[in-house]
Amino acid sequence: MYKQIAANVRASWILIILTCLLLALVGFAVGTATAAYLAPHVPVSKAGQSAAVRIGGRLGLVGAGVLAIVMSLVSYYAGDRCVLAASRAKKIRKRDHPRLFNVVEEMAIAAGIPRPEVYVINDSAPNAFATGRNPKTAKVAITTGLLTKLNRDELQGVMAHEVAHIRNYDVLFATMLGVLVGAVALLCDMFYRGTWYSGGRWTRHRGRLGGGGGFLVVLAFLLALVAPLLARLLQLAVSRRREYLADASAALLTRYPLGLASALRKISADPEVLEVANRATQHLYIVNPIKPFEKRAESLFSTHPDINDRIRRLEEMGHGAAGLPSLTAPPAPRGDRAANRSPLGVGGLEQVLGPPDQGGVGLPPATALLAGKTVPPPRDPSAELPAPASSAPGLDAEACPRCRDGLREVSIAGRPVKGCDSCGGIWIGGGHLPELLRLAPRKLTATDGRFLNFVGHGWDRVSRRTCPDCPGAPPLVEKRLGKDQGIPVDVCKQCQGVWFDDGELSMTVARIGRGGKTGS
Amino acid sequence: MHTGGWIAITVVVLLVVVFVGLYNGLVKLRMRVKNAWAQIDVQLKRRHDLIPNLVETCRGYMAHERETLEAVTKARQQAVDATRIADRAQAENFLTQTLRSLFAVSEAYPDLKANQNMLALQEELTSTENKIAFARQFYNDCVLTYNTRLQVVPSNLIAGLFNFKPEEMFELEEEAQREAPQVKF
Repeated sequence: MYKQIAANVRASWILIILTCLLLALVGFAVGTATAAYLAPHVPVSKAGQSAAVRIGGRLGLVGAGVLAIVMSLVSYYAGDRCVLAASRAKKIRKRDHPRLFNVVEEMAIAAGIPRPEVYVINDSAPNAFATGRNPKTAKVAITTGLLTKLNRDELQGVMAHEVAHIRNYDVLFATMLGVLVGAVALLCDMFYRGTWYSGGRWTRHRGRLGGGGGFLVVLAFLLALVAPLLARLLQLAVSRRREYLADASAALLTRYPLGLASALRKISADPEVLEVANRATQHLYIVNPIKPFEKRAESLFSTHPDINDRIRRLEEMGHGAAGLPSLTAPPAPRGDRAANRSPLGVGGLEQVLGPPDQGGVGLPPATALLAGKTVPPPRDPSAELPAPASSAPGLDAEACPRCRDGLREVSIAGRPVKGCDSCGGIWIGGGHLPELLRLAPRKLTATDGRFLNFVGHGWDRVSRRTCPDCPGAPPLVEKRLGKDQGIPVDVCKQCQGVWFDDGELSMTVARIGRGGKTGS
Repeated sequence: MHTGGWIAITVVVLLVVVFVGLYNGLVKLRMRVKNAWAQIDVQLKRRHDLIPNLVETCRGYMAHERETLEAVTKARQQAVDATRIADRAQAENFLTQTLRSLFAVSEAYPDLKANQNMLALQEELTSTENKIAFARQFYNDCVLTYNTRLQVVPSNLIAGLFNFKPEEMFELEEEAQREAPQVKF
């Protein structure tokens, strides 16, 4: 997940840099070639006419440059309004569609940006887009067709994608790139025009140039021919990257990639064509509205990646194990979420406050923390992890999560746990970890109570390891034990068993000895 | 002036610029963490504000469920009044529970379920719960960024110099006093 985002960011910057390099290369080649060509003639300057043509050409170039800058400024400051007007989008207020409004607000909160203005396009084709040069001026638009087709989770996914575009400054990114690509085209154009106006002279005087100069001229010609096309291809590649990036960011915002995946599936299955979309605005939408393009979507000339590939990537994120097609584990989060939400979604708050019967982490008022007070978590002495699931030995059960060899019963502090002889890892079955820790001789009175928590980083990374006690359970989840970065362990969500790789348990114990600190 | 002098001045200016940049970056991150925390409180308050309206709407339809309604009102009042952290957490949890039972009971009243006002309130409460969850998520992300910045070179030097303290994550997992085990394997 984080890796995908990082990879996408890297890829788009590489592409931007490539475009800049291309621009520089074209500029250099054209400049050198022109200089090499003109050098023998300028002192002679017999033809005032051709000089005038050259000056005129240069003036035209400056004019074109100014025009390009003005256009990019206009598109920077007024582009959003133009796009919204062109798509006939209408701004709505909260009472017009409370659910849409709420979903957008939720996503804005998740992304930490102000709530964008919400627009609706009256069109039955399902699509959506975001515009605005920065989060403060951002707007999101959605068609009525999409609004009616999606459930809340899917709508949330779509809006997360749009909010991600806003947070990633994709509109600014696209404008920047557009100007670069325009500049490349302009340079090449000017070069052609220059050689055109100087008529046959350049062939006539060719003989006078040195070999290097001739080579440069030929190179410049070739470049000027290829560069605009190349720049456009780079621009499209960036556009596709940013789509993947927005998908991944959306998954990070909702922590539920399957919502967006399911929405994309619905959108892609819809045969309708968005009437107000055209070639100029197609790159903005969540899926390419120009349907024929969709067929060769992964081709070089598309603004969007193949929608099936996007769905596949999101679903992989949803199932946790990237690139593991044979994964048969059920899409675990779905059921939890549905259960948590019903009938009102009170689960959301319960997640925040912790389930009441487990004496969960209290929610201190923000003011307390702001005042710098330490916040003692309420403790419930009766709290215990659920009893270990009956360890019915099944197909895959009893196998070492790491190397798949058999596990051997060993004892730690008189309690039976399982160890692997091959890799030295230790499996502490469900419920036994706290029990073990409680049984242990009281050596450290000042042990920091916070130490032995799983530090959730919000997003549980699902490993490929499986629980030795629960056959058929979803794979183990990577958690971190302790403060700061913690010690990585794998936890079974079903039986709460914990897997320590070789040395991790002693590391844990050593760390407790230091009061939970990372130290050396 | 000598070249050496210029170099020295340039280096000093550069150092100051980097220093100021790092310091301001840390301050900004810390403010973001605090702001994110405030968001959670805002959403909790919003939930409190929604409940009287909800109770009023239900009262008309659920004449026989006075107890349930009163429990919700009482739980809300407790949550509003709670000052101590532990009390507040408990009160908010209790409020969640009473709301849950209220909505469970309301399933038996088709008229109420079809009521436009009720539907709107239900959407508002669902969204508020989501917003609380997302605000928490954003808060934790901010804390993660900030705490990481405190530890990495070179900002850790500045953090140490000006006593920037790491913020705490908003954990879900239960936190209990544990003791160290003796491990022999």
